[in-house]
Amino acid sequence: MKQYIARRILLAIPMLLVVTFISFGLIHLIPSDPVEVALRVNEIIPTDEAIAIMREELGLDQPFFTRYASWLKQIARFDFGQSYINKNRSVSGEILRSLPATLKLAGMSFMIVVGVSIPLGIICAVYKDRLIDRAMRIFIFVATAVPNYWMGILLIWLFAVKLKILPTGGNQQSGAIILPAVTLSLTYIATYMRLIRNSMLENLTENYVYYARTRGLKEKSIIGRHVLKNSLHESIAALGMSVAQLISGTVVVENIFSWPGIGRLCISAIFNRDYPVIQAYILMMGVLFILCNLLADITQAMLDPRLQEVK
Amino acid sequence: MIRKLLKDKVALVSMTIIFITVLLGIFAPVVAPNDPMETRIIQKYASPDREFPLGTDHLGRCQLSRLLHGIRPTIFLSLLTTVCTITLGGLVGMIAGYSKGWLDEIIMRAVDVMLSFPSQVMVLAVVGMLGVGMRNVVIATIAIKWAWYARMIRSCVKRHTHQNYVNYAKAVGASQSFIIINHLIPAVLSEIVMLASLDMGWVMISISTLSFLGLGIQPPAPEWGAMLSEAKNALMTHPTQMLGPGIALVLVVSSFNMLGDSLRDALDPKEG
Repeated sequence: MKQYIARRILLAIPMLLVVTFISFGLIHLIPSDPVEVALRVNEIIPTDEAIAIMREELGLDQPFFTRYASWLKQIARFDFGQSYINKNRSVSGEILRSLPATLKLAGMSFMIVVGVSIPLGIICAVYKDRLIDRAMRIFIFVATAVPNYWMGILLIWLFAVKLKILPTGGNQQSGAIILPAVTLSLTYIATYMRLIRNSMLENLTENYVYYARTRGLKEKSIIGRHVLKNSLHESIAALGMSVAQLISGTVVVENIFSWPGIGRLCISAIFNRDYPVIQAYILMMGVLFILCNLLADITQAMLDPRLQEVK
Repeated sequence: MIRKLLKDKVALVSMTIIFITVLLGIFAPVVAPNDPMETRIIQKYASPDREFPLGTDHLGRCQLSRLLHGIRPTIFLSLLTTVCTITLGGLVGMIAGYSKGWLDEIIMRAVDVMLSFPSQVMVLAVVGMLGVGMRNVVIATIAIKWAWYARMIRSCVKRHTHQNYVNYAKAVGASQSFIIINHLIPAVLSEIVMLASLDMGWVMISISTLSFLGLGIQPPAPEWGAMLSEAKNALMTHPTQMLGPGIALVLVVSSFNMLGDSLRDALDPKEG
């Protein structure tokens, strides 16, 4: 097991390097000179002299790989430099300020996803092709076709404008988290419900289920103790990845519900052309995906020792 | 396969919806009752009547006309994106699958890297760097999605290159380009169509989401996502504003999803 974990971590290191390289390299896609942008947003007229000073200040006169190496050293200390828009604010400070709100929202959604999709998935598998299974299939279909921003507006209209029981946005009032968390989790509930349902149905045809039935075990204990355990193993990797997807998926939801998290920070950075903030956001998301993937793989291997052999 | 598809009622209905929508989009200037850009500030938020069948928005623009003209950016740009993605991904996947060896290895590692990044974040990243605008949204989506197709099509090509008819073509001395054009492309085409149809819904939602956030199409051009963004601001006073574009979007997206599902069933050899 230790060997597997070590190998898996070793495999993640080159991926992390690639992610840092991409987030660093992306800045070169900017159609205009970053020095000029930095000057303009601070309302300094970009004279040749000012450009030269700024270029040196930002370290842009160095060759590409030297800059990449020093940038790597910087981000290792969680230093993403200064925001272009607000010179007094560091990018890491901005991110740390808005991260808790996003984590809170994503965590809440994750609990909803797990709490709703697992029981519903089980029910659908047990009562396959019965009324509830069909109703859930319609729900899955609708949830994949409805864009979540429209769902968000509809929920605001119903619960905040019409029924007046929940606030429309922000995170000051109590209960403000409910609507954004539900909006965020709806798509994922559909995905995982289907995943768990199908994985359980697949497991139900396995030989050990027939064996358990011939032994005369109760159907309840077959489902609860044998099938569920085996199908959850398979779903854990996907659920692990959903944490990263939920965090990156907050962009839209945060903007609808004025939730002060990193998704909104990123969008406003895009509008303001605040490239260091965008860069830090991309890097964080990339690292997050790799880490979640790593954790999901390791948990899955711990639960199912067969996987340690294969890879 | 086509005959099988025509028997499928769900596929027939969804194809009809898509076909009608596309036609309405092409002939939007003829069909639309009013100019989608013309503002009539006195008549803002007008209720549906004979002149404005779906009422007007916050600037007094005809909702139905905007909806019809919005078909163009919403559906046609999604189609363009999907076609470009498939062409690029297909080309790369075809090369990788057919060439094997080191070229295949390099391409597939690049694909792995692309796929390890979350697509939504990557689209945001590229749009963030290139700047706001519809063109950049399309470029970003293509740049992210091609890897997905490249992998699919590579495995398709790999599966077919070991079939006897390809071996036979090689044995009788057919050229590589002949084999690719006459054997491999037709063989993988049906699978590509299915994937594309399943993916269209994703692309449409993705593009309209970016427009909703203000990163895609810029006002005053009509687009469903942008219209919903405007409707959101009038949520308190005129909630019906959000119904038109939202329902239209869901209808078309689910049509593409259903068509994709039906195509998959039709292609599945298991269900004879």
